Amino acid sequence: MQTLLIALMLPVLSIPIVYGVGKKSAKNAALFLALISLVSLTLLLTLIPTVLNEGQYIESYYWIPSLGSAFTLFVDGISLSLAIVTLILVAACTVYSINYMEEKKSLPEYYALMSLLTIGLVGVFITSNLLLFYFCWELMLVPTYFIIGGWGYKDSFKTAFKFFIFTHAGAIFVLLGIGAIYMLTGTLDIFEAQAILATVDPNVLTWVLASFTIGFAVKMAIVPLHMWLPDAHGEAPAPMSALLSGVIIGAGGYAVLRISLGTVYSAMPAIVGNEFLYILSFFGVLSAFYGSFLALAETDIKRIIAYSSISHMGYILFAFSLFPFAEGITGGVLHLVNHAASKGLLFLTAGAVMHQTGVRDIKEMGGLASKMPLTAIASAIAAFSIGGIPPFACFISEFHIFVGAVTAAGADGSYYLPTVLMLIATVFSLAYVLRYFWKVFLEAPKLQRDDIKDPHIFIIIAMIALAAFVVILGIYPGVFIDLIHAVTSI
Amino acid sequence: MIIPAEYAAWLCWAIPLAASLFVPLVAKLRRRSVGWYAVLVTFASVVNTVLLIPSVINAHGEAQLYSIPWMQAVNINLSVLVDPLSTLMANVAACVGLLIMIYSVNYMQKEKATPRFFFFMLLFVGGMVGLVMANNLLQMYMFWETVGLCSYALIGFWYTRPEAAKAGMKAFIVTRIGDIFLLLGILLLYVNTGTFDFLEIKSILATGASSVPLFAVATLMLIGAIGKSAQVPLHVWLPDAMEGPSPVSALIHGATMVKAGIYLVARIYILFFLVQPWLTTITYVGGITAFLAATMALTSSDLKRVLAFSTISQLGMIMSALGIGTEFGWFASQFHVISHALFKSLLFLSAGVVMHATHTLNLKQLGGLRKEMPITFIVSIIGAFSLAGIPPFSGFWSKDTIFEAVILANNVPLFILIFGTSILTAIYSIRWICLVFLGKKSEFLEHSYLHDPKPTIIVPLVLLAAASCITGFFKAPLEHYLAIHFEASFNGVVLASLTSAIILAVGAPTAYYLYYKKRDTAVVSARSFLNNPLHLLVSNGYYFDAVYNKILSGVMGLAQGTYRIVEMSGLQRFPYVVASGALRIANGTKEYIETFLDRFVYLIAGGAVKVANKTHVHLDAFLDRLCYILAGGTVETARITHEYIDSFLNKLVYLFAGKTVEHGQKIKKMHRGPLPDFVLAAALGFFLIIILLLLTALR
Repeated sequence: MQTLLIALMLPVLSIPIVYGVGKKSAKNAALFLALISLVSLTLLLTLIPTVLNEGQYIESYYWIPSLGSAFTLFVDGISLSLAIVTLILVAACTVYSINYMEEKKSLPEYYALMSLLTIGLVGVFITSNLLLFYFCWELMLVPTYFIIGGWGYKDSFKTAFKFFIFTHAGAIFVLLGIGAIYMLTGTLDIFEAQAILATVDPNVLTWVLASFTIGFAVKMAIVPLHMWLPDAHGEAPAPMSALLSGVIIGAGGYAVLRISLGTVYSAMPAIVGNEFLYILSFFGVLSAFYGSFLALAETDIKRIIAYSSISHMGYILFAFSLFPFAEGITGGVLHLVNHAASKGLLFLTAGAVMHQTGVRDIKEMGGLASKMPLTAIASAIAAFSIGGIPPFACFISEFHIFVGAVTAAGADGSYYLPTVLMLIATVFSLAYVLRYFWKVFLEAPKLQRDDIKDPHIFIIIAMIALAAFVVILGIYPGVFIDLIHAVTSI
Repeated sequence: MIIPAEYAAWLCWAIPLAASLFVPLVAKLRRRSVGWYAVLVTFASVVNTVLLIPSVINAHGEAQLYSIPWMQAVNINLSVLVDPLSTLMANVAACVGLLIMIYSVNYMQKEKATPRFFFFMLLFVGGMVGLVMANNLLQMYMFWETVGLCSYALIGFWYTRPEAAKAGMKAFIVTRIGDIFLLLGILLLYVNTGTFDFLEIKSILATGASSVPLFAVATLMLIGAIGKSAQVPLHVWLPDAMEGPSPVSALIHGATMVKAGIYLVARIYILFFLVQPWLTTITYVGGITAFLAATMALTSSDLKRVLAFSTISQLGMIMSALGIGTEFGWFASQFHVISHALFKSLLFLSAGVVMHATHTLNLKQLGGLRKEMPITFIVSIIGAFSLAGIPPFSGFWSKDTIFEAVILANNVPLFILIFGTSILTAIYSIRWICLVFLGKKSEFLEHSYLHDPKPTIIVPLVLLAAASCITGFFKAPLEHYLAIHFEASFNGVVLASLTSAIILAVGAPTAYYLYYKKRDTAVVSARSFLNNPLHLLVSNGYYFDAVYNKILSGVMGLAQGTYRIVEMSGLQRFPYVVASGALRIANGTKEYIETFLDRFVYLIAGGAVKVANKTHVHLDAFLDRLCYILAGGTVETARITHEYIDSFLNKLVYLFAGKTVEHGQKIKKMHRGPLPDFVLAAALGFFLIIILLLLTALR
């Protein structure tokens, strides 16, 4: 059953339909796109039992036989979890866009671009073929460029251009790595490559590893390669920011795990040592602190959240530096899932605030809790989740990360310092979250306007759906943990 | 048994948690009923906690464990522990919670945001009971943080007041600092024992063969308790937490949440009680906190802050009792926990009544309320006397037990600390009563109409006061319940009683004298006392707050500096630096490249043209000649063949023609006449046709 193929192709085929429908009614285009995402989501959900029982699910098709390149679609627990949350987020953002983008122009193009983006977003996670992976990796950039440029805020095309060039430059490193792997192993499938890479000289592999990791780090916005993120997230329209922050940078993290660590690093013999992991750990801690500090200092509502994303990518990189301890990796992947949902919700609520009040500087906000109660509740859920407070999603994943960290520290004492530093970083996370919530919703209002109220129905629906998801994940992470742990416990 | 223990153990906390989610719905249906809905839910919780008591007693101190699957992949299950300690705390939380909830219905009546209030109150009750009932340390930690969240939300209930909002954030951050230590401790315990389950950890540690770093883990968890129970140096959040409504202060900051830290230490006591350095740490942290906080209570002139400092101080005493290291000390601490929960919540609720009636929190503006609010006065006296340790109220008995425990353990430094603390406690509690209720009414209250509050407010107060009266006599049943048995030590009892007597003899008259008899002059002398450096030190909280605020501004300054210098001026410029560098290179090399390319193009083009020209000429000439040669040759050939063919053909024709003429003349000479001519012509024609045929056949 070509489940994965259909799930991937549905957004492709829907592009012209969405465009056509959009010409008549943008709302219907959005609902159609949301429907498509949900159908793809359902298809992926049907794969859960298979993945839980057998560990993975592969579909292989012919593509470019001369390159030995099979169009292989593959999911294991990690890929499936991430693809599921991606589609949920796409559906939510699309529904959200109905009201958010109401007053803007050229909406058919917007929804068609979203549809195109979905392919890239999902495709990155569900393939084991490096060429298809790279194709989707770059495919994520093009619609993003246009969406940021066309419907973004200040200096939108300049920002979009910066985003595109910067991440594209990073992608060149990834391409170099892929090329190197092909040269060394003759195959583009990560599993076949892993087996063959074990026979390659570790010195060469080190360069390949470095090249890949730099490329992924750019996408993941790890300090000091994060420069593109604040502007891109800040000036993009809110649904796009949600997808950027939740999924696109998450794809970077996933790639670090799947390719850098899973394929290249694990093929290097044990004598290579842990320096690579220590480097990852260092940059993870650095990003976590740097992001939180800057979130404490920022005054633009979306840039605060953008820096918070940098901080959380630091958590994830730290979690992955605990390779191969299962709890750490489980925590990291679960955090990718939880962060995508929570940060997506946070951006959507921030967008709702911006949309209703027309201001973006938190110095001009305040007292919105009484005027926009539903937004305030959704924002509280999202913000507290980001702050790592139970019973919301990110607490569980952060807990798992720390379990893994202390386990790793037990085996290798040099992990104690980063673990303690990361624990301290959670205090800063809470600090900027509380500050954000207070300044936006609780403080004495600076805007003396009576017409501020909760946004319209579709924005509310999207926010409530994601908020429920965040709360449920916080209490019963059940299926995601099962899926992920099935992979990491190997 | 109406509800068997295995259900009651879950329901007692699951009901409030689940019910809190329906508060908005109830509020939509009938706003005024939200409070009573909360009361009903809390009552359901009380029913469950009370029903646990018989099964605990029947188990004689053995713990019962119930668990359900949660995150099976990582082997973590939800589990509850029914043992004397957990059930005791659950009952305290639920019962006191019920009384406070009843009080809140009327007290918060005029507030607009009652749904939000009761949502968080119910969430809190559920979280607190869940915390104490939890066997799984992760579960406990989740509830630990959840009650912290409720505390933040309820302290900052009136969030439009910046002080309230800031107090809420301060509480959350300070307790979070303590919590990360707790988390590290729990994780170290997990890594070394392989489980989060308390009972399993207990059995692993009992074997003595585990690799757990006992002192490290115990101290880390202690720091978490220090944060939550507001011990020095993480006590700074509690006084500011008084910004919240009085029921919140009573429930969270008097009776339950602050006891969570104490509960944790009491719970892990069984794991670590052989680690003497740990016990010593607890003793001194508790003792010093108790003393310092008591001094701060003495210098505070805010109605609720005095009670806040008093809470910190009493918690310090309870903590230090745990640190004594004997089972009797452990028992004394739990006894005082019950006592304190009762009288402190009573005092906070009365403070709320006073506040509602007088609209002021300033002790200097209060006074003389005794006549017009008699019931409030009586219950407050009971509470204050219990706090001061005056018999026959429960506070006397529980404090006495603590003294007994200290004396029996021969712990002199601790004795001195607690002795001093108790004297100060007696003084400040009587001071509180004097300043609020006794004496003349102040000018501020001259024209206020003061009266005792409504039944729903006053009845919980009366019930708490009654409980404070009788609880002291339940020491023996408590011992039985906790399954602890002691030999009564005559020396201990006598010395303890003597101590208490001295304290009261010293403290009570002093307070009475200073704050009642000589009240006016006390105010005068206090003013000159105010500039005394010692007074300044104490009233500024020993500058803990000042130091922490400096650290906070330092951190914010660091954040701002990083933002301005590193990010904005440095890193964010990077892409533009690269881009402008690339542009500059492009522009600079543009000229060179362009001229180079130009010249190159012209070079090639010019050369090509020259070559083309030259070859053109030669080629032309060659081609011309070739043409002419070919043409000329062809013409020649044509001419020559033409000549030959011509001459040949001519000769052939003349040959034939001549022959024909000859023959014709010959024939002509032979015959004359038309017929011979005709025959001659026909023969000639026939002969020509034959030749033509032959010629065509030759083709």
